[in-house]
Amino acid sequence: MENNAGKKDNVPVFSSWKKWYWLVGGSLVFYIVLFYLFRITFE
Amino acid sequence: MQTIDWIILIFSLVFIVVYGVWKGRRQTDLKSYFLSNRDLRWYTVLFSIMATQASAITFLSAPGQAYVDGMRFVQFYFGLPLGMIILSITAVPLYHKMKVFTAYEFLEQRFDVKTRILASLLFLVQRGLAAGLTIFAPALILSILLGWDIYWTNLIIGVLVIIYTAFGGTRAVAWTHYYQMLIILFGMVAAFFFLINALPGHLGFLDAVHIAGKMGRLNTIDFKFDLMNRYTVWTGILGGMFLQLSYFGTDQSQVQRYISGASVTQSRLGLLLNGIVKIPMQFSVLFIGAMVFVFFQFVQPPLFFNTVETERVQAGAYAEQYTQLEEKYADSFVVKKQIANQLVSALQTGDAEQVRRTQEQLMQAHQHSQEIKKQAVAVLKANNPQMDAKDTNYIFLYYVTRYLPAGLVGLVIAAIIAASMSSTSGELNALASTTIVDIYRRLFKPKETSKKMVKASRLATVLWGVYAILLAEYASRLGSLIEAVNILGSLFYGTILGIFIVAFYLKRIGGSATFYAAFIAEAAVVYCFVFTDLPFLWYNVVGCLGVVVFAWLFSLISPQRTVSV
Repeated sequence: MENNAGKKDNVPVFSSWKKWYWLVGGSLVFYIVLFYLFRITFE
Repeated sequence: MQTIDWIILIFSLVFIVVYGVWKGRRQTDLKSYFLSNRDLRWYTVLFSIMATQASAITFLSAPGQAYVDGMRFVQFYFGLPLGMIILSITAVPLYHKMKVFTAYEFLEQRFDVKTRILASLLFLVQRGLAAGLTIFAPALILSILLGWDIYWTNLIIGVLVIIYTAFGGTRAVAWTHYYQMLIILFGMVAAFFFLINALPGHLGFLDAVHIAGKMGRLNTIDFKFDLMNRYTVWTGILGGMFLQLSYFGTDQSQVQRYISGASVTQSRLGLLLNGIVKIPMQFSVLFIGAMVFVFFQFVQPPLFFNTVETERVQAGAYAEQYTQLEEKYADSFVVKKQIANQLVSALQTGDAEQVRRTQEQLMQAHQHSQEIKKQAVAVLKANNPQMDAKDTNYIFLYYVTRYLPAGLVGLVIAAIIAASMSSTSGELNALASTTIVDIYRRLFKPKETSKKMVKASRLATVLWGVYAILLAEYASRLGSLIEAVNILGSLFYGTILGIFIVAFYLKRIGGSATFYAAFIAEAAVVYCFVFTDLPFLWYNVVGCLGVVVFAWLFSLISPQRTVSV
């Protein structure tokens, strides 16, 4: 994919966008587990 | 509000307007006016989409919701990270490749002009209604708790937004979003730390969290599969994902934010980071509400947080009855506070049996005070049958105006007004781009000069702004405001999403099949809204699946040409 200046876009931080998608999806799982632990710890 | 509060508030608002006008100068054509010349970096895209989504209602209602029935509302956002991934894979590269100004422009390239116009009109109706509400909702709460005139509050917020949005277009909107988000985050963080600091001396932070948990305010997760319960993990992930996909993928007020990114990378990064940070941000806002709840276990809250209604009843025929209830409520608070202190002691000594016993007593005492509140609401209702029986939206601002120190009050109110302005500016900017690009230029003036188009776009922004102000001035009372906005959106979102899903993924289905399927799906959504108790998040699923299924059936009956995108 090219950007508006006609240069190829690089994937920042990781080697592919797939890893970004895993990070975002993984963060959802992390939040659900964290919130569950938060709930049962303080209830 | 004291002088320092006014200084902070006025400085923040003037800074936003002046900065927006300055940043948005030199607009020469539609690309610069509506897409900021596609030069935005990921952090501006991120802040801009966050500021557009986070209206003032979010910051006023969410803490109140946590106060009343816990933090379960956070599950509503569980579909958002999945939505961001799907859009990063599909919509972002496609919109960039086609160099569209609006999401609906893509529909003409994929289907035909009538489907483009239908989706544009659905958006204009839905977002036009919401724009008035975005100004009205916080203005109503500010006017009640601060004694401001609602007419002037609506007018001032609306006019300030119109000035920089009409003048500077998307560039002004995106860059003011950046600073508005900073004001909002700074205001909320400051309010949180002061709140923790203001808890009674014997109550540590962890004790406060335990009290919130023991009183059911930390119900962040509910794994029960119940279609009729709007806040569960499953409703949040499935229904929420459809809503977020519709909102971010097909609602021009969001699409315009990320197609203005400098490249696919910049747009994707903005969206994906939004998927990571939105849930903790919403959690924090709700957690503030849970802590306000704990605060009011040790400091007596009013019987009803809407002070206009309480003043009205005290001046009327029900004054004596209401005063008696207030006395009963004060007595019940003294008992409840004693039990809460016993619970703190039990927690600090680690006596599990004592904790369990006092927790039960505290819940009973809370139940008792809620019974008194119910009676008070009945009296208020008898005194004024038109009143809103919910006071959820007033709780946080009541706390802010009564208990925060001078300076911080001004900062939090500036944050709330900044939130109102940020979502309104995003909406006006998107309403104008859809009106000009999809309707005016497409149907009436395809060969107009750039200069005249920019002029027309500015005029469209002003007219939508005036319309939003007028709507805000005449908006009737609503129940829980945050839900009202979401319900309004949900009535159209599913259908619009269905049109886009057919466009993206079902390439054998043509424009006419999709166009007529959209009408049937919208009728099904309206049927669910009027005749069933289905939670509103599911309207998105009904509308979306309705379009997909009927479009597919129609395409079987009358096959159409295949279009490749």
